[in-house]
Amino acid sequence: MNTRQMLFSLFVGFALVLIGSQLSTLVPAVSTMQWAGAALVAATALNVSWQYFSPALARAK
Amino acid sequence: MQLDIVVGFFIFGVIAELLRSDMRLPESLYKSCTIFLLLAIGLKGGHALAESDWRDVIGKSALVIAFGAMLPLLAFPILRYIGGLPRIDAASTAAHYGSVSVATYAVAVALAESINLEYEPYLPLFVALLEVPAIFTGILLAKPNFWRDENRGEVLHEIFLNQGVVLLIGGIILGAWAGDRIDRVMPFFGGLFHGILALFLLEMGRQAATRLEAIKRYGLFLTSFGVFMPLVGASLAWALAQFMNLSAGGAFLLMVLGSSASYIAVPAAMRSALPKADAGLSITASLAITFPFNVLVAIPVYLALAMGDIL
Repeated sequence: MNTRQMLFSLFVGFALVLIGSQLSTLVPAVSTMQWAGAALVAATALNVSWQYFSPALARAK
Repeated sequence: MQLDIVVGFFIFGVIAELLRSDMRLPESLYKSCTIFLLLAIGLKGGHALAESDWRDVIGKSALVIAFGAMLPLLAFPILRYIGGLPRIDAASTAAHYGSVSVATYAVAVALAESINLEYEPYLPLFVALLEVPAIFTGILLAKPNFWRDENRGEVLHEIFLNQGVVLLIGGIILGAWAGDRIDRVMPFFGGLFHGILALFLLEMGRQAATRLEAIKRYGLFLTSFGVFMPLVGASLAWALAQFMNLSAGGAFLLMVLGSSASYIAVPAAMRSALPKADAGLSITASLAITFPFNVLVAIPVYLALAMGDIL
């Protein structure tokens, strides 16, 4: 995952969280969107962490 | 809002596949369900369309065609310059996102009917109209000199005479022509609509789950794109619906059309027009990411937005 892809994924994830948190009081169904956004942010963070701190990369260094 | 029963069948299909059950609909039954749904939507729309003002319908249809042609132009730069996809794959996937998914539309119609939400009779016509323009935009993005191609006749045949377009337009014409005679077939096409849709979604759930491995292969960018593009499409469709002065039901269905991505008609057209494009990439995005996202997460939000619960 390159930097542009990472920033895009984080942008989409945070946007979903934001939409969800703003609207979930009005429409309960929106909370699902919030969870989807949180999952996307978490998955992106894990993916990036793995890219930078994976044992294979450490060995290569 | 409670989850619709037909959506429950989709989840059931996903779970059955994840548990590695051998449950699956025979291919011929799945195809029969597709034909039934396309004809049912077309017939019902055509019957109602016969009483509409054609001048109004033609003007709005032109706007909807322009909308369908424009959506891939928004998707393409994201796929090409952020996703870093090859030009041909970015164009092919963008075309999928400009076109529509009849199954997503059918789920939205079932939801609208369950809450007695009325909508304009020409929405099924928009489904047929939105199938085509995005395919042209996608092909032209990949091959600007497509009109000089030797196989353009075959590709144009695939675009205009694919099963989805033929059955929808055929159903609309039959429904408009039949008048009250439609009552003789409606116990079948109307009464069984929800049951057949449930069966269809059961298989769709299974097929979506079989592509979960592919999502891992294509990475997180595709997942992000698969949930981002529907929101962009739905937002633009909502603005278009306000401009066209559609009812709440009409706005809801147009948002669903704008947010859905094709996985039947466009892949077939792309196989002819852009045989070197990665079909797995586009189908994984539209079927395994966007379709479940729309059905499980986004459709209730579109409904609330269209009904004015949010703004």
